[in-house]
Parts: sequence; C-alpha cells; structure tokens
Amino acid sequence: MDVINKLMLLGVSRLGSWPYGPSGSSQAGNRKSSTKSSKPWKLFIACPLLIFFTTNTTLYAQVTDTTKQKKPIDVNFLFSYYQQDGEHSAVTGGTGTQELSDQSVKLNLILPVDTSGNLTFGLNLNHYTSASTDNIDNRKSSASASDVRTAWQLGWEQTYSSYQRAYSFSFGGSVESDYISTNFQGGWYTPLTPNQQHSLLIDGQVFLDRWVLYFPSELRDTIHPFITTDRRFSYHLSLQYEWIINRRLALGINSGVSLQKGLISTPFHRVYFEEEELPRIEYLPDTKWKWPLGIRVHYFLGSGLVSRSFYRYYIDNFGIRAHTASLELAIKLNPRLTLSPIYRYHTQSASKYFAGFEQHLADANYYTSDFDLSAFHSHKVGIGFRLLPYWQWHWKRIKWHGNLKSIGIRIVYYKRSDGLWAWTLTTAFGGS
Amino acid sequence: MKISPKKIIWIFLLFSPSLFFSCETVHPYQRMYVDDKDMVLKPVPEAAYEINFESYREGAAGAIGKKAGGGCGCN
Repeated sequence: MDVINKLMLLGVSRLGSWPYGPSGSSQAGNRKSSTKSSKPWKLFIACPLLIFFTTNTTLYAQVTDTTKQKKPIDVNFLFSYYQQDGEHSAVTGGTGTQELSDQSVKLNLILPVDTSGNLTFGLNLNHYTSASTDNIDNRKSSASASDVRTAWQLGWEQTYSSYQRAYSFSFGGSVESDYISTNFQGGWYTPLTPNQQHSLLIDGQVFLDRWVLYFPSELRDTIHPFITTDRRFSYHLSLQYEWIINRRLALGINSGVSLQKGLISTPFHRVYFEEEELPRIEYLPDTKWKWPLGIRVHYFLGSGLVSRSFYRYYIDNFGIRAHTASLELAIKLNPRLTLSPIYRYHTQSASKYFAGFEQHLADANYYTSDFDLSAFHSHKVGIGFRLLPYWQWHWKRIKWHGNLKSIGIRIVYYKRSDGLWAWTLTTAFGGS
Repeated sequence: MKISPKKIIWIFLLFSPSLFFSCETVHPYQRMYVDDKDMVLKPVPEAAYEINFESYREGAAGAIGKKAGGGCGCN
C-alpha cells in the first residue's frame, strides 16, 4: 500500500510532465491538471489515465535516474607505524631483545558496478625489521634485518534491496620471505525481523598456507622427524548476532570456531632444555582449535557522547584461557571532530606447552618458549581523532573530481606484564 | 590462571547494561542515534592494525570480525 500511495502522489505531482519525467519538471507547471475539473464523470476517465501515466512516468523516471546516477568509488587509505621491544625473543629460546618496527600501507577500493553490486579490491604492503629473520643464524637477537610482506584481496559484494540482504565473497593471497598464503572468504548478512532490529551475519574464511622452511643454523644438519609437512590450513566460521535494543542501545554477540591443521609451530623458533647444550626446534601439536565469544555494547549517552564497550572470552586446546575487555568513548566535540579515548585490558593463562628459557623437561612431548603463549596481562591506552572535512578536488583534464570524506588518527601504547611494550600510530583517509 | 565464576559474572554484568534497559520497537524515523557512525557494531577502521598485532602478540584472537589465525607466519 505504501508503494501504491507513493505512486499516486508522484503521479499527481508529475501530472502533465510525462514523458519528460523529473527532468521535465520545469514544464510540468505549464500544464493544467485534469483533476481540477468540477464534473465528476471526468474523474472516471481521468483516474485510470492518471494511474496509467503515473506508472509509466515513474518507470521512466526510474530508468532516467538509473542511467544518470553514478555511485562514487569509495577509496580508503591506511598508513600504520608500529614499534616494539622486549626481552623474550622466541627465536633465541625466550631470551634476547624483541626490538621490531613495522610500516604498513593499505589501500581499499569499492567500485560500484551496478545499483546492487560492488567490486572490492584491497592491497597491503608491510615493511618490517625482524629479529627472527636476522637471527636464525646467530645466537644474539637484533632487529637489523628487514622483510616485505605483500597481500592482496579481490571480491564482490551483492545486496538485495527488496529483502535487505547481502552477501560477499573474495579471494586473495600474501607473500613474504618465509610464508606464502592463499585465502577464500564469504559472508552472508540477513535481517531477522522486517524492521531490521535483529540481524545475523555469517562469515567463513579458509587459508591455505605454506612455510618456507628455515631452521636455526646449528640445527640444519640434524633430523627433525616431526616436521612432516610445510603446509598449514586454517578454517574459520563466525556468527554475529546484532540487536538494536532501543533508540540508544545496540548489542552485538560474535562467536565462532577456528581450526588450524598442519605445521602450527614456527620452524625457526628455538627451545632450550635443561642439561642439553643444543636447542631444539619448537614443536606443537598439528591441530589447534579456538573458540572465542565476544559481546559488544554501544550506547548513545547523549550530548554527542557514545560509549563502545567490548568483552571477549577465549579458549583453545593449547590450554590458553583469556579475558579481554575494552572501553572506548566517542566524544563529538563538534559535528566534524570526534575525540576517542581508548582503554583495553587483557589477561591470559599460559599454554600447557609453554616454559621459559631452559625450563623445559627433556621428556616433554610438545614444547615452546614463545612468550606470546605464556601467562601475562596487558594494558593498552590511547586516543583517536576523526575529522570530517568538506574538501573536494577537481582534475579538469580528465574530468575527474573527488571528495575527502574522513581523516582518522589513532595513537596507542601497549604494555605487557612480561616486559614487552609497543606503540602504534595509524592514519586513515576515506574518500570517493 | 583461574578466575572465579563471581568475577566472570561481574564482568558480564558490567558490559551488558542491556539487561537493565527496556527493549522497544525502533521505527525508521527514530534511528538517528543507532544509525550514528560510532554506533556501528564493529571496530573503527583505524583499529584494524592494532587488532592484527594484538592477535600476534597474544594467545587469543577472534570474535572481533577479523581472522583468528592463518595468512601469515606470525600467528
């Protein structure tokens, strides 16, 4: 009925403008409306004609609008700088500096192909100094070696406006000096109620990876019977349920399961044992599953203040139990500038396969000295800014113009209880 | 590390105020607050890099809308 009412109103407003449609509206006012006649019999003739011409006017207007309206190409550019240091490098058995720096550039494009389909493209370049790359052949850790990781992603997004549903799929890959990856991803979004207060998002990912096997120099001539493959396969399935509870409160629950099979351990990580001169290569089970459960609550407090809170519980078959909680406030200083202070707390138990430098027993079945799998707690504090500028530029020679829609800057400091610290600076530019 | 069930419940109640608020039907003309950019139920784009390095430097990953492992030799 809403559609019919809109068509009727459009027909009355457009009466006399067919076949010019909305572009001919300047001529519509010059024609007299037939509905102004005082003789009722004329209505019985005019109404069917009105309906007929209204429908055709609407369709013509839709065709005209479709060919004239061009959806812009969305461009997002992200630059990040990361620096860390610590005293428990896994390459040297849980001891040594973890100094590392990383520069990342990421470009995301959304190209509209038609009214309901978009082609997506992403490119990510990482340049990092790596203590692991430099010290596979040395005892002392340093961060002088460097490496580059290149990743790309190509995909398609399709929306069904009549059902408010959407699906997406993509494939991509990445290459670095010791790792090659190929991935496939798919997603499906559907509202569960007509008013879209309840919705469901299902997302699946598959990674087909291959290690380039580099062993520590002192262990390259020894036999490693447990290294039976250089492949790693990762499968992820996640479900996110979203609920708009009231006009100011939104809730999201995200859960899923992840399964990894193959070479889970890192082939150039050393593990030292009591009463053994030479280290061994890190050895972990060839199957790892993970189960995270996340709850996100966003509340519009009013006066331009939004609270964004998040909690996650995590377990896996390596024995790690973790709790993560974060709180972020979006303070809208004015319609264009938003300030966001950030705090995050994380705590986890150690993996049952973890022990520190020279603390493993010789008869252990699986062993690692990677302090990322140890027991610790961490704090992250930071601040973010987002600016919504009204900048446009034009390139007359090729008749191209664009808009800079948003600028985001975010600085955070991260500190772990075992001594690792890191800070990162991220800038994001969104435009079309 | 063991956390008592009481602490888990307090954490859940602290981050689930929806239990104490009434739910209501939200009409399209009443969505000016929930449609705000900061109310979108996912991390901001600038946080993408942080989520990656947190998954590398910690044993936990996932439930944030990002991959929970694979794709690089770091996790």
